[in-house]
Amino acid sequence: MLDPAFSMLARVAFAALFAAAAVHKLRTSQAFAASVADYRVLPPGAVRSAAFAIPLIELAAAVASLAWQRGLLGAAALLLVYAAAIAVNLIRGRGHIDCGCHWGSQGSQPIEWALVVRNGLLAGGAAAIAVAPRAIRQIEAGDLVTIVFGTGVIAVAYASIGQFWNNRNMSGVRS
Amino acid sequence: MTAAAVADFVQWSAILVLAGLVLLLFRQVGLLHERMGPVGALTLPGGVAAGDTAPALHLTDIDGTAWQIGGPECERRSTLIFFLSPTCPICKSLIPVLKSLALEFGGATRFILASDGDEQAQRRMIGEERLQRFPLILSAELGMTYGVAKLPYAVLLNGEGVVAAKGLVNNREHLESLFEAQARGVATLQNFLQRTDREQRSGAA
Repeated sequence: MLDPAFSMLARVAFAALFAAAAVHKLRTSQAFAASVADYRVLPPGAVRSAAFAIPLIELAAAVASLAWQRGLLGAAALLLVYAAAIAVNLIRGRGHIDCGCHWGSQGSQPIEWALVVRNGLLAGGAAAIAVAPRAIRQIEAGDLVTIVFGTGVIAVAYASIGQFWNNRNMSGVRS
Repeated sequence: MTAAAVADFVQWSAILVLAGLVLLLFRQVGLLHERMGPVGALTLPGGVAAGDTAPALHLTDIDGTAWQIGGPECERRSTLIFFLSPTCPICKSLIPVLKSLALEFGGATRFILASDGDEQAQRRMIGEERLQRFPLILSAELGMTYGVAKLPYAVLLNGEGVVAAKGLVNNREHLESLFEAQARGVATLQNFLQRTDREQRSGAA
């Protein structure tokens, strides 16, 4: 049984993640289109429309996660699609391309297996929460504190991990 | 509010502040990393200067193939000489970039790896990094000709054997900037800055 405060925290956090990702992609649409083309999983003609559609799909996933518990399945599916696109390119030996995920602060981030693992874990978590049976309990004021602060801490921690990753790539430890 | 609710609020605030501090720390570390590397291929003094004709060197790679480096190339192809060593971690981080540049420019440009010292270690590096399709030349003379003092270093020669660009390459941008320099006919970063400066001044006058 999953406490409603916990599942709501997860839903808000995933919604925030996808909303932030979508906004970033819309603001840097040129760079994002170049990343999509670099992945070489779509026919060249479809790249432009895909680069436009992906942020909108992300926004839809964010809204769905907020609206319904099962909406998290959309987020999980999207994460798995990204993981698959990254894995395909790593297998092709195109490990140098930009991830297009911009989860660090600046610059490009090359793709690597760790990103596939990360997406897999996030997708697994989202799917598990989506289908878990929920305890019947009313959300109260105390839960709002948990949800708001919890989302804030998750967001900051996520940004820290991204920055850490960026630093590690910059220092040339990756070989 | 009950005591428990107040405690809850205070603790969440403290966690949020601490998480924020961790983020700031990582950003600061990132900033330091960025400041460590020079921007653009840095041309160090010494060796054949950009814009000059490189002397023709006749060298043999580790597989026994003979190469002429410098002087007019018979098919008028450009030559990129990438100086590396098995003990240099930044060189390793640039190998994927080198491979992708070789895919992009491989038709019009010969890609040659240059190093010197322990041949066993070099062969091990070729195996580990899967560099078999690039010729590797071990020659101290080659490094001295172009004044290579620090690694990874790259020299781009045009088809006539003239040094189009050269410099210390610490990241993808640096290495790509050599090709950019050749395309624009600007030999060095310093040269480029002078030129844009002049253009701006003549535009203002």
